[in-house]
Amino acid sequence: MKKIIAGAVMASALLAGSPLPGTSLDGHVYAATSAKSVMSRYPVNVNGKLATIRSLHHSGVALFAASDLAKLFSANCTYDKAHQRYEIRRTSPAIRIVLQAGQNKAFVNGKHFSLSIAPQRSGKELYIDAKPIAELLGGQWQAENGIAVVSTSGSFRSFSETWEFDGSPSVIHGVAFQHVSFYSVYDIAAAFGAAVHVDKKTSMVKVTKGKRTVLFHPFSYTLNANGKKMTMPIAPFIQKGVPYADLPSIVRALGGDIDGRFIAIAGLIKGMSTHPQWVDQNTLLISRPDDSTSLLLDIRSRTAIRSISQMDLTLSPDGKQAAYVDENGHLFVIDLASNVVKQIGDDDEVKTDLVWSNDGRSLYCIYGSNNEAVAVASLDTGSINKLIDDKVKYKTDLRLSPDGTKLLYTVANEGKTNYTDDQKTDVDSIDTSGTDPQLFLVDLSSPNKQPTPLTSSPDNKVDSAFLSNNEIVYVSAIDDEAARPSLKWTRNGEEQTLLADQNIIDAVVVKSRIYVALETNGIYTIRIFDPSTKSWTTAGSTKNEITSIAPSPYDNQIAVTIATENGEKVSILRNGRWIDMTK
Amino acid sequence: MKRTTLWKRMAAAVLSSALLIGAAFTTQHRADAAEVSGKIVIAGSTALLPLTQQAAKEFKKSHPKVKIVVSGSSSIAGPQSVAKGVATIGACDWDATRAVGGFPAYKGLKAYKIAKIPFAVIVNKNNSVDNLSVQQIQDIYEGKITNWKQVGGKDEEIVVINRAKGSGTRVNFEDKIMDGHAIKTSGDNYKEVQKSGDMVNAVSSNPNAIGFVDLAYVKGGIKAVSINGVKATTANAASGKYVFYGYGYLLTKGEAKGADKAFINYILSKKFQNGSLKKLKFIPVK
Repeated sequence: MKKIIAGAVMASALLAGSPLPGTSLDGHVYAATSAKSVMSRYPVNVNGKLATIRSLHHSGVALFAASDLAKLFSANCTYDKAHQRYEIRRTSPAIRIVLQAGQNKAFVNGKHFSLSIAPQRSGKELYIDAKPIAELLGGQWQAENGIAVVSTSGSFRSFSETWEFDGSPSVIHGVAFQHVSFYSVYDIAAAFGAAVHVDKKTSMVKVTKGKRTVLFHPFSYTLNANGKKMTMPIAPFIQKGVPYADLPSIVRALGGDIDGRFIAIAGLIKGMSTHPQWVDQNTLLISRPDDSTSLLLDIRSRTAIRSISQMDLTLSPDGKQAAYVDENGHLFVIDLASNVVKQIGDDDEVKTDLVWSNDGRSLYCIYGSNNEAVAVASLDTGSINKLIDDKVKYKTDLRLSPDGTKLLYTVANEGKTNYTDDQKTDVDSIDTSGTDPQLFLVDLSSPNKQPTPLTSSPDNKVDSAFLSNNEIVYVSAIDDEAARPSLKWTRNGEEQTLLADQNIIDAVVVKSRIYVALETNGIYTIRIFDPSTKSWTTAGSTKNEITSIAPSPYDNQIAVTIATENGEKVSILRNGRWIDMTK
Repeated sequence: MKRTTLWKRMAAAVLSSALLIGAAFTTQHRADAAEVSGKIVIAGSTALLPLTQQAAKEFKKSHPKVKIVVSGSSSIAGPQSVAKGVATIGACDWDATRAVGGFPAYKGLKAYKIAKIPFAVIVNKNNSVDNLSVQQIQDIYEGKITNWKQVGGKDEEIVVINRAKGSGTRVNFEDKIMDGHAIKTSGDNYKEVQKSGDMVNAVSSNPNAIGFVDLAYVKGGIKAVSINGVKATTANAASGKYVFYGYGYLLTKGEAKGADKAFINYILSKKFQNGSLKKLKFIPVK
């Protein structure tokens, strides 16, 4: 007598819904021990995809519908009524398997083949032992706890890979077949410091780390991470008691992030990150506009070392201190190792464009509410003295030459509002003449420190910088839709165009080399110019939208900011490879 | 952040919701990935001048093809200049699309709220008075209190400094402090100045002067007095404990477009709002 079990209903419920404790594909359902035959649909994980095939269980033996099995392997099963034979046939790779109900003898491509379990017929269907037939068809079949795992091409291959978890290597074992890789959940959990429990009755897998709980079932794509449903691209399975699953899914469910072979256990730092500066070859200082703070970031583990309650800090040349001006205009220096903050004097005038002296004992700044002066603050005495007090307003982009003898800045004069009346109640016009930004150079060794104009052209001038020999480069642009910026090099009193008509995203000088981020047809490229050889090299290209660059003064790494939907993230270009530091 | 349209993405949602124009604006932003070029002329409020100047400095780094000229005079010059077409953006300490303090509503302009501005009642740094009630300030500006000893200071005549008509700071002072009480605009000890900088100079150079200015200007030879015992700080203004504050607006003729839109978006971006804007003693609006 045949009895239909509601296995299909159970399987579909698992396919559609989330795995819940107590929901099971109970193995004994299929392991009928009586003389009665039981039919059901048997859950199958085929190359990571879920399916069910008809099965017949009799005397503790499970047999599977030959036509269903054949279909999994892109083969056809036909019945030869005259000879009462079933034939599984595939054209490529070619194979012909002839089977008969009740016969242990089969023919494979015309040759004898012995079956340990004879096929059985039920209705029009032939039920067969799936394992040898799957292997004959070029794959592999393995059933455990009432679920079969099937490779339709090749056998299961064990592998081990080394992944970096927060910068430390861990070996993760896995099983691969049909170009799909499944990773040991035990190994992943161990690297996360999480515990794994596999319920023997229900096959439910539970991974716990602190308050985080991840639940999944071997016959479901759905994963439950702290009550939140996630979908896995491939269904997990259990083999010899070890759950295997899609690695990125488990990592993300545990709160981690993946970048290449790197796994950030607590996830990459989220939120807007800007203004990367190199503290040393392994540490970045980044600004966090979301909460007006800064972070020290270890680029090996990609984790935060410390948070600092100020943003847009200016790093000292040795990377040990950082300076900032608070909302009251007071100047502070923070020791990055000890986190000790020191106020420099009590001057509360507006200070912008902080620039460290080469010896790290002074800070130059644009000074005054109208940015009308240049001052220098002594870290030793706390005194702030004006160096240039020519009352010319709106100085910006202060730079100090590498030898510390010259200052460079830009001035864009204010426009003048003209009125029709003496009481100045009715605007007539805005006079914008003389408002073009110009570069000025100051010789700090001269007694009067008189600013000398370097330019007189009407173009915008940004990203000005000194080269090692006190020569100057800057990006020039005009307010013409058709014209693109140029990179200018001022040397020996003459101006030379290094790059013409390019969409220059950023230009920075580090160790006397000029780093330029360019955009061409949506591709962002970082190029490096060596003034000594007058040659350009390319550091790397990406389709990601680079918004700024910060080359390391310590090695050949380049930190960049990249536009994201929510703001900016920080990445590093290292040996041609782009590595995300935040997200 | 350098030359990019990134900040546009960030500010798009903010600006969109502020303008209640929904997703269309955001879409427009993202489609506007090409380089922005053109000339921006910003005229108006001197209270907002430090903010617009700083934003202009930063914006030019990311938008080298945009030329920006800033001219600070008075708030009323902002909407006037835009309405007349001599400036592309007007800076004003009130929403000039509505009639305020005797000034008409400017039709056809679009107002973008960019910052909360804490203002301060200021005295010379050497003045011993550190706190005044709203009532005392009203009485001083009405001419009812004329000597510092009447409010706990020295026996010296009070010199009242006011901003000229058209000043946004004056509009906010009349609105938030004077509350309908008329300022006595005559007498030997009454003086009007044109700009915020002039106000600072007038009070810092006269030990008996009293005036008002936005908090960003309070430094050097002047000090802010507490009002009703509450210190003039951005934190107190942000929480509402401190009563003397207003809002800064940028105005454009119709919806902001091109470089103007990009500039306003930059000011509304989280980076600027939480960065330079706060350091200049303004309070973010988002």
